[in-house]
Formats: sequence, structure tokens, C-alpha cells
Amino acid sequence: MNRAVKLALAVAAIGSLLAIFLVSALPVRAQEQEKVELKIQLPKPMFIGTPRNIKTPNLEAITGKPRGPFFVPKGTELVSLKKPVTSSDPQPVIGELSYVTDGEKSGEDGYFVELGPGPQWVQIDLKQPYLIQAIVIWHYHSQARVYRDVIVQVSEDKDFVSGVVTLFNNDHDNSSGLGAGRDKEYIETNEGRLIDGKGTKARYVRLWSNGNTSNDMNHYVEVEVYGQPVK
Amino acid sequence: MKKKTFGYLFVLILVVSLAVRLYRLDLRPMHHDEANQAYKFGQLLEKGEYRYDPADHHGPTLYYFSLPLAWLSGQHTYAELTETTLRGVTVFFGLLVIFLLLSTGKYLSNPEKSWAAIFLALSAPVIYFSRFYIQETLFVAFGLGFVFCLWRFARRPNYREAGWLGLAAGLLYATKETSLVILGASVLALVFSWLLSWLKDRRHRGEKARGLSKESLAAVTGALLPLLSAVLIFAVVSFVFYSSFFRYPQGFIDSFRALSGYAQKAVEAGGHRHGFLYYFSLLLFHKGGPGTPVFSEIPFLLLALYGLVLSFARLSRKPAENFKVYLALFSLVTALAYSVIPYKTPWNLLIFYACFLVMAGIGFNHLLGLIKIRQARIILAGALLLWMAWQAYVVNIYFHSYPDNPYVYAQTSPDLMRLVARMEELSQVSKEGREMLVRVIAPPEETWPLPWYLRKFTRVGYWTASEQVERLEPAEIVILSAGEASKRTESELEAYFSQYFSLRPDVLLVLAIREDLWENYRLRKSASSPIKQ
Repeated sequence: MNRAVKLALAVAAIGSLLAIFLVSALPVRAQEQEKVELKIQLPKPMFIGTPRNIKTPNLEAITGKPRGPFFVPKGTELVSLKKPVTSSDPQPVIGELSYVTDGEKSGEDGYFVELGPGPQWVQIDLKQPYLIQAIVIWHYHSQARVYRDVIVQVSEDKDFVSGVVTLFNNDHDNSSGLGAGRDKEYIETNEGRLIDGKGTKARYVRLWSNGNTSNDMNHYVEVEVYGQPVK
Repeated sequence: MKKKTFGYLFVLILVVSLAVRLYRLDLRPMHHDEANQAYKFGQLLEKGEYRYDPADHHGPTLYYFSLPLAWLSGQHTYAELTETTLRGVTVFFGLLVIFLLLSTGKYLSNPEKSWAAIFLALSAPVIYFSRFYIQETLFVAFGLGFVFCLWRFARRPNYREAGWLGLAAGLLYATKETSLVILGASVLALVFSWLLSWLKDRRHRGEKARGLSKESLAAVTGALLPLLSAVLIFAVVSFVFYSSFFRYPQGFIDSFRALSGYAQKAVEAGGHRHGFLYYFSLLLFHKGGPGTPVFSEIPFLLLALYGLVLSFARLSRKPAENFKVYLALFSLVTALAYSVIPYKTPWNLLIFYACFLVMAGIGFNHLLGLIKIRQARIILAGALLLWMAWQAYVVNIYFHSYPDNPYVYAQTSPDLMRLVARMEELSQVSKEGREMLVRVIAPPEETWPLPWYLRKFTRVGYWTASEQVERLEPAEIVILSAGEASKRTESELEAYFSQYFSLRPDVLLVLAIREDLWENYRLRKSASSPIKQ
């Protein structure tokens, strides 16, 4: 094989590889272009201390730094604001269920709803199905607390009998009876806990908890659901 | 009030106060100070060993007076002890505080004693600290005992009264070295009450100041020997306790040396520094978070104020009739002294507040006498009792450990009981049971009261810093403070399943369970609790 043929083959091989790379990269670029960073309005922090970067497999690392960006498809919007809320405890001890979606995220007194002890849930009716991209939960963030057995489910069935998708579950020992989960326990902060909705189609969002490290009660300052209308 | 009626009523008050103090005595998780005292007592119980520590823990009466109840309960080791046994000791001394009212004899009328006893029996903060295994309730019992005995001795300076006075002083000092404040305040109150009556007498006679009469001088001289015997008894009693019943005589000397340390602590105060009005702010009015009730002792503070004013208004020219003035002065001086000291913890208010409640009893009895309509008297007394019962319930039962309660101070979170329960469940799964290896890695302030709750586990090691522990394994369970947990490597913690538990508000512990033990536990639990359909 003479040098010219060798050179031609080498150019062809490099060209092919380059072409394969460009072709495979094109859809990714196209996808990335469609995604935008989710902008979340954060309340002011209420406590200093405890943030520690504990590197265990099932406790969320707290770096003390802001959470990194989270990308959602363009057109994703807040779809839970002022939407109706129901609960396993229809008569909250403190506050009202409407606080869950009223848009107020302050950690001060008067902004949270307190549900009774033991496993309790709140449910948001988004009024129509959405492709859920993200759910952000603020249980109570004026103290370093961990809420137990946090489970987030979505469904198109308001009774959560069929078509239930569990997006988050850190009930490691199945004490709430909905099955054991493998997600991490986390300390509440003003950033809230962001849960990836993975584009799941649903109208209802149900959030469980089972008391916390400070008392047996269940609290919600705010829950935000971000999604896109189903076309 | 007839003597017999008073007798029955007083017994009833004692029975009620015992019942409210004993009800769910183990409800509140052990405070770290209680756990610390329990550990010290455990050493005495198991090994017969006690040595006074001038740096901390105060005097030894709490430990020695805990022995009879532990023996009666059939508990002979630290591990066998229970919260009920330990707190039973302070409950007993809480009753003694009420019982001591009888020693005031004719200086308080029977209705005054009865109201004072009712107020002491049902007062929310008094009950709260009667159910707290620290020195405070003993301190109040011996403190009030000393105050009453000093008055009785001043009136009748004989050897019998001197004996009681010396005994009360000795027990008081052996409870807390800092009792010198109480000794000083009562002597000051006695001198001032005498001075006030002398001034009134002089004004009444319209004469100039006179020196002591020959009779007075003779009385003072006659009191000297009994007083010396009281001092001797004080020295002997406190020596017996501080020297661990003659084993370590140095303890007695150390108790005096400790005073400089406590004085420094009182001034420097650290995290316990609070303002002048701290105690009154706790008592007057406190409102926790939304949905919590009001905590207030206002009715009793107002009645105490009325009792104080009444006592001074009725100042007699005869010193012997001024017991109430003496008590009022003691209450005021003590409240002032404790408020001036920067170091403050809620239980320190107990000694002067108990006196305030006696003054409130005096005031309330007088107030009832002014009301001529019987039904109005019943309604007023009933309303007061209902308020007391409500406050006693919210302080001692409903908000027993929650920061909304003004008397809750650095209290262990009830969540820690979940950690303890999980440890017990895990020990049932572990092949080694309670002999499994447990490591606790946390600074001292984030360790207590764990030694109390882990007392039945036989292989527990304590380290104050992560650097002291090279490897977590083979420990089946590791309890770490959040700070120390952050120092361990990811690969090391991968071998453990971890959960958060609260030690106190804003203080979290990490319970790390070795993966194989957790898996066994999880399998056993899932077999017993199926998934809901």
C-alpha cells in the first residue's frame, strides 16, 4: 500500500469518527438548548449551624453552599400556586392547608401548617394533568430538623389507588407501610428539598411524612410543583 | 379552722401533691444533668464509692439520700436503676418542702399554712423541678428548713432548736456549696426584721435610740453556747457528707475551696448568662410558638406581692411577732441575689419562688377574709385552683420537653427515645444482643445523656473526637455527633446505614448501623409489617 492510499484511509477514518461524534452530539445539543435552569425564589435562612458534609450513603450531604442548578424543559412553570390542598388531617393543629401552596415560604411563625402526629399526607390538586419536572418541599426551616419517612407520590387518580408513581421515598424501614425507600434523609434548610419529577404525567401530588426529629408533628411551609401542560 | 380539720386537710394536700408528682414520672427524657447525677449515684450504688469533685456536681446529699429508695426498689446496679426510682427521691423532698410548713407553728395560722401548702403542692414550676433528678428540690427543702429553724432558734435559743438549726445548715451546705447565699440571706433577713421592729418601737415610744437592755444582753449571752453547738453540728454534718462518711476528709476542705471556682462560674456564666429579669420573665408571662398556651404565674406573683405588702404593713413592735416580715425579707433578698448573679438556670428560681408561694398563701388567706360573700370566695378559690391545675398539666405533661415551656432548658429531645428504642430493637437482632460493640464519638456536650440510656449495653466505648478512632469497624453500631460524622471517610461510612436523631433542639446525632445488622433488622421488620395495599 503506497503512502497516498494510507493517507486517504487515515483521513477517511478520522472523518468518519468526526462525523459519528457530530451526529451523536447533535440531539444532545438540541436537548440542552431546550432546557433552562429552574429559578426558585428562596426564603431567607433561619438558622446557622449543623450543616455538615456527612458522607454516608443514606444521609444527604450538606455542603453549606447553594444547591447547584437544576435544568427543566423550556416552558416549565410553577403549576401549584394557590391550587387546592387536602390532607389526611383535615383539621390542622396550626395554620391552614392553603398555606402549602400560598407562595409564602418564610420560616417564621405564622407561615406553616401543622398536621397531627404519625404518618400524614397533604395532596395538591393541580386541576389538570401536567408533565411534572420538579417538586420543591419546605417542611419547616427555622431549626435543624429532619422529617421522617418523606414520600412523594404523583398520580392521575385522586385516591392514589392506580397509576401511582413514587418520586421520592426515604422511609428506609417501611414504618409508613408504603414500602421501603432508598432515598436519603436530609436536614431542612431554606433551600427546601428539590425532587426530580422526571416529566411524569400527573394531576395529583401527595406528600407523606411521619413526624420529625424535634417532635411528632408534620409541617409544611410550602410545596412548589413545576411542570408543563400536557399537549 | 379546727385543729382536726386542718390535720385532715394537710394530709389530703400531701396525698394530692404526691399523686401529681408521681404521675408518669418517667415521661420526660432524662436531662443531661440528671443523667450525669445518675451516673455519679450509680458509682456510689455499685461500688460504695463517692469522692467529692470540687469542679462540678455540687454536694453529695442527693446521692446518699438516693440509696434507700434504690435498695427498697431492689436496684443494686447502675444498669438496674430507673427514672422513676431516681426522680422518686426528689419527689420525696418536694413533699418535705410542704411538710416543713408545719414547723412554722404559731407563726403562721392554719389557713395560711393550708393555702401555702396548696400553692406549693400544685405550682407548675415547683412540680416540674420536683420531678427532676438534680439537687434543687433537696436544696429548697433544706433551705426552707434552715430559714424556719433560724427563726425558731432566734425566738427560743435552746439546745433543741440549735440541734435542728445545725442539722438544717449542715444538710443545706452538703447539698450545694453555694448555699452560703441562703445562709447569708436568712441572717440578713433576721437582722433587718429585728431592726425594723426596733425602729417602729422607738418611733412609738418617741424616744431616742437605746442600747441593749440588761435582759437583752443576758439573752444574747445565753444564746452563745447553743449557737456554738449549732455551728458544731453544722460542721459535723457537712463533714460527714463531704468526706464520704470519713473516708476522704479532704472533701470537706475542698468544698470550701470550690467556692472560688463557683464564684468565678457565677460571674463568667458562659452560655448560662441571662439578664437581671430572667427569672421573673419566665414566671410572669411566656408564650411559645403558634398554638401553644400561655404560661404564667401572674396570679401567684400578685398574691405574693399582696402578702409581702401585708406583712410589712402589719409590722409589730415586738420582734417575736414579725415572722412574716422575716420571711418576706428573705424572699426579697434571695430573689435579688439570684437575679444579680449573671449565671442563671431556671431551677435556681425555686428557692425564692417557694417562699413567694408561702407569701401568696398569706396574701390569699387575707384576701378571702375581706370577701364577705361565701359564693364569691368559693368561685375565686376555684378559679385559682383550676388555673394551677391547667398550668401544672401543660408544664409537666403536655409540654414536658418542648422549648415552648419556659422551664425547659437544654432538655433532651423526645426523639432520642426513638434512637434508644431502635438500639433495643437492633440488640434483639444482633447475635451478641446487648453485648454488641457500640462506639460513641461525640464531644461531651453532645454525648450526655447517652451513658444513661446505654447503661444496659455492656460494650460501649466513648470517644470525644473522631481522630481518636482509627476504624469504625468492627462496631455494629456507631453514634456520632454531626460534626464528628463529617470527619469520617465516605468509603468507611458506606459499610453503615445511617439515620438522624435529635439530641436537643438544633443538635443532631447520626446513628450508624453496620449494613449486615441493618439488613437483618429490616428483613425482620418487613416480615412483621407488610406494605399497605
